[in-house]
Amino acid sequence: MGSSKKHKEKDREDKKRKKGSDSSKKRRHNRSRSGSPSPTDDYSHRRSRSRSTSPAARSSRKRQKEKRRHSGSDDSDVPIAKSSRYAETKPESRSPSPPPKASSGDNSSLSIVETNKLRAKLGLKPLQVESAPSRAPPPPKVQVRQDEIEEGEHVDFDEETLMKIRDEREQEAETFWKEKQDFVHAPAENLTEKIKVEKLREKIALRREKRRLEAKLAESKGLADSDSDDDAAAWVRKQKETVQQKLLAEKKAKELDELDNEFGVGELVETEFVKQKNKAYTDRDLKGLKVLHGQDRIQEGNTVILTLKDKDVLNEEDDVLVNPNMIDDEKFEKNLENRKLRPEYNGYNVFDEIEYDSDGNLKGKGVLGKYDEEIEGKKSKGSFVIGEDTSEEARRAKIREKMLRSDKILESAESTSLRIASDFFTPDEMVKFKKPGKKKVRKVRKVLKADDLLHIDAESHPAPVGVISQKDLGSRKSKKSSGSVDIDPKTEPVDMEIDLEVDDLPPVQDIDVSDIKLEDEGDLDFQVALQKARLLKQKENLKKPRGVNIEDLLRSDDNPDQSSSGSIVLHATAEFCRTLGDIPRIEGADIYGDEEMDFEREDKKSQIEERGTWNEVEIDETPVDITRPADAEESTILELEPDVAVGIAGALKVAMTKGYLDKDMQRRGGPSKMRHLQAQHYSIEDKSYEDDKFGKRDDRFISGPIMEFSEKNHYKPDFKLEYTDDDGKPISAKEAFRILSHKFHGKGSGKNKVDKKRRKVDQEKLLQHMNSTDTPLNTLELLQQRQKETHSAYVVLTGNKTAGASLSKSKH
Amino acid sequence: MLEITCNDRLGKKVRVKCNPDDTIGDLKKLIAAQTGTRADKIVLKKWYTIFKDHIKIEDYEIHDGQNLELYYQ
Repeated sequence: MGSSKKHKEKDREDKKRKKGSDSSKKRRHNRSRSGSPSPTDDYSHRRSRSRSTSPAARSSRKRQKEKRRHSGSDDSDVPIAKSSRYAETKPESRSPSPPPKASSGDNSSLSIVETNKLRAKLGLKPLQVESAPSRAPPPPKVQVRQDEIEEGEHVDFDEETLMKIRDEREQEAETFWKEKQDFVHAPAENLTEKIKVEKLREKIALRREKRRLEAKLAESKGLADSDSDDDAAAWVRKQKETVQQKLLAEKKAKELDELDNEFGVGELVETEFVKQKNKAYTDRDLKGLKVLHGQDRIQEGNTVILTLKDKDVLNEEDDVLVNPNMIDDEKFEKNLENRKLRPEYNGYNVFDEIEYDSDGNLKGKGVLGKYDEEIEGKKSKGSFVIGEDTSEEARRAKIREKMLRSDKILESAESTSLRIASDFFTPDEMVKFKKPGKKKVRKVRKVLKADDLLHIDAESHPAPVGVISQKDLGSRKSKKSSGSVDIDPKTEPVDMEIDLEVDDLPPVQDIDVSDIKLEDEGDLDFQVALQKARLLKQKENLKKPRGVNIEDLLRSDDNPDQSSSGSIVLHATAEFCRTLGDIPRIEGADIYGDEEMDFEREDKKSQIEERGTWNEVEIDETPVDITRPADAEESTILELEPDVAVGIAGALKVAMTKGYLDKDMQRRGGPSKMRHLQAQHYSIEDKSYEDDKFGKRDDRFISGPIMEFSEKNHYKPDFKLEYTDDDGKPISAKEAFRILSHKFHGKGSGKNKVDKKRRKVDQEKLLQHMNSTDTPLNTLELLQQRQKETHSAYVVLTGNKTAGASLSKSKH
Repeated sequence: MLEITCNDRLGKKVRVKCNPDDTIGDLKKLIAAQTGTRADKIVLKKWYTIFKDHIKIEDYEIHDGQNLELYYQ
C-alpha cells in the first residue's frame, strides 16, 4: 500500500512539474515536505491551502483530486467515498470538470450510471447500491454530481440553493429512471437452454419413431405367441381331422391296389424290386476309392461306416473315405507320439535303424527329416484303395521283389570269413599301408667332433698301432668286455710307451663319435675313472717284467696337459675351461679341474688299487706342527714393504707402490694379442637343441622376415673403461660412481669429507714424489737440517714453543 | 455494489463496478465493454486461481477494491 502511495505521489509531482511555473510556489512547499510520512496529513494540508491559492492552481489540484478519486485506492467504501466527495464538491465546484474519458487511459472506470447503462445492454440487472431502493438512488446522486461538475461555472452556493439544486436533480433523476423503466431486458439467449431443448426434441422424435415401429411389430405374430389352437378343443378337433385323413388315404390306396391287381401291375413292380436287390452294393462299386485309414485299423468282421471326406467345392481331387472316429484315434496317437521324447533331436543316433518305406525303398533321411511331417503334412501312414490286394502278405512279397531287383540291401551275415588276427601286415596290406614320411633330420649346429680332428690329423699322423679301439664307448656293457678283451698285455707295453710319448697327439682314429654321449657327464667321468684304473693296472703288471721307470710315469702323469687315456675327452668342465681361454693361466693349474687331478694323485698314492667305482677319500694324517711359528701374513698387521733385495719382483712392487710404474700397464691388450693361440675349430655345442621343438612355438610370435643375425666371430674389441675426475686424474669406478651419484642427486659430499679426500690425494701425491729414504713429510731431511744447524747429533723434542718452531715444515 | 480493479500489467487497468451476485462471466462482459477485449478471451486470476465463468463473485469471496489479474487467452 505504502509503495503504491509513493508512486502516486511521484505521479503527482510529475504532473505538477508539467504544469509550469505558476505552481512553483506550491512545488517548493511540497519539496520542503517531501519527507512527510503520512499522506493524509499531506492531503489535509493541501486541502486547507487550496482555498487561498489562485484559481489556476486550484483547478490543477482539482484535477489531481479527481484522479485520486478515480484511482480509488484510498476509498474502498462507496457511501463513504460519496460523502467525502460531497464534502469536496462544495469548494471545488468552481473548477472545471475534467473530461470524463481522461482518466480511462490506463485505469479506466465507469460511473455507476454508465455501468448501469452498460449492464442494461448486456442484459444484466442494474447495480444494487446500499441505502437505496431497488431502483438505485445512488445513480441519480452520482448524476447530480456529474451534472454539477459539468456546470462547474457557479461561483458560490449557499446551503439553500444547494439543497434546491439537489432536489431538482433528484427529481430529474427520478424521471430519468422512470424512463429507464421502459427498458425491456432482452435476455441473452441461453445456449445451454437451447441445446437442452434441442435434445429434448430429438428424444421425443426418437420415442415417437419407436412407438411406431412397435405398433408395426405388434401386428405380426411372434414365435411364442399363442396360436389359435390354444384351447384343447381346437387341438382335439385337429387330431380328429388328421386321423380321418389317414383313413381316407388308406382307403384310397386299397382301391388303387385293387385296380392294379386287376391290371397286373403288381407283378411288374415286384420283379423290379428283386432286380434292385440283386444289385447289391459291394466293394466292386467302390473300387478305386481310397480309404484314408490303415488296414489294420479296420478289424475283420466289424462294419465300419465310412463317409466321404469333406473337401472344397473347387477341389479336383478324388473323393476319399474316412471315419471320424478313426480320425480321432489317429490324432490321439499323434499326440502321444509328440509327447514322447524323441531321440532324433539329439543329432546322429547310432542305433537308428535304416528305415524303409512301405515299398521297401530305402528311406533317405534328410538332415532335418524330423520336420518333414510338419512342412509337408503327415503322410497317410496306412491308406489303401478298395479293390486292390492289400493283404500283408502281398505287401511283403512286393518288398522282397523290389529288394531283389535292386540288390541293394540284401546281404548275408556270413560274408566275411573269420581269420586269426596277426600282428603283421600281409603283403597286399603292405602295399596299401602308407609309409610314414621320413622324419625330417634335424640339423645340429656344427659341433667340433672327433671326426673333424681325425681329418686333420689323419694325414700327418698314421694311427698308432695298439691304440685301444673304443668303438663302443657308448655302452657300458660292451665297454667292460672291451676292457677285458681288447687289452692284450703282450701288445700293451709297446703302446704304453708310445702312448706316453705321443700324448699330445690326438691318437684315436676309429672312434665312432656318434656313439659318444657327450651330455652324459656322469657316465663319462665313470668311463674316465675306469680307463685310468685299467691303465694303472696295466702299468702295475708291466712294472716288474719290463722295469719301466715308474717315476717317469708319474712325472708324465703329473703333466697336466696329458690326457691319460690318450683320447680326447669332452666334457662340460673342459669346455667351460676352454671358453675361459682368455683368462691367464696360472702356472701349474689344471684345466680339467681339481677333482680329476686329485683322483689321479690318489690313485698313485694308493699304489693303483682298483676298487670298482668307489674311491676312498684319504684322510690327512700328518700331525699338525704346533711349534711352527705363525704365518707372517697373520702376524703383521701393516703391509710389509716388499723386499727389494730379493729379486726383480720385489723391486717392481716397490716401484708400483711408489708410483714409479703405471699400475695398469700389464693389462693392456690381453685377449686380442693372444688370438693366434686360440683353438681354430672350436665351437660350443648347442646343448639346448632338445628344446628346439618347443622353442618353435615361440616362432609364431616373431615370425616374418627378420634379418639373420650373423655373429661377428672375428670381432674382439679391446676396450678399457676409464674415468677421470675434473683435473683429468684417473679415478676408480667406485669414485666415478660417487661423482655420478652426486651429480644425479644434486648433492655433493660434505665439507669435511671433501677435505679429507683432498688430504688423501695430497698425501698420495706426496708419497709418490717423496724421497725414498725419507718420510712423506720430509721429516728426516728437516731433522738433518736441524742437526746441521745446531751442530749436534740430536734434536731436542720438548714442548717448548721455541724449540717446536725450529722444527717447522720448510717450504719448498 | 462493489468495485474490482483488474490489471494486466501491460497497460490496461480497469475498475469495474458490479454486484456481488454477478457471475464472473458477467464481470468479464463488463470488463470487455470497458477495455474492448472480447469477453471470451479474458481470463481472470488471483494468484494461481483461475476464476470460472459460472461462479458468482461473492462465492469467490471477491470483495470491494480487490485486485484481479487480467490475462488473455
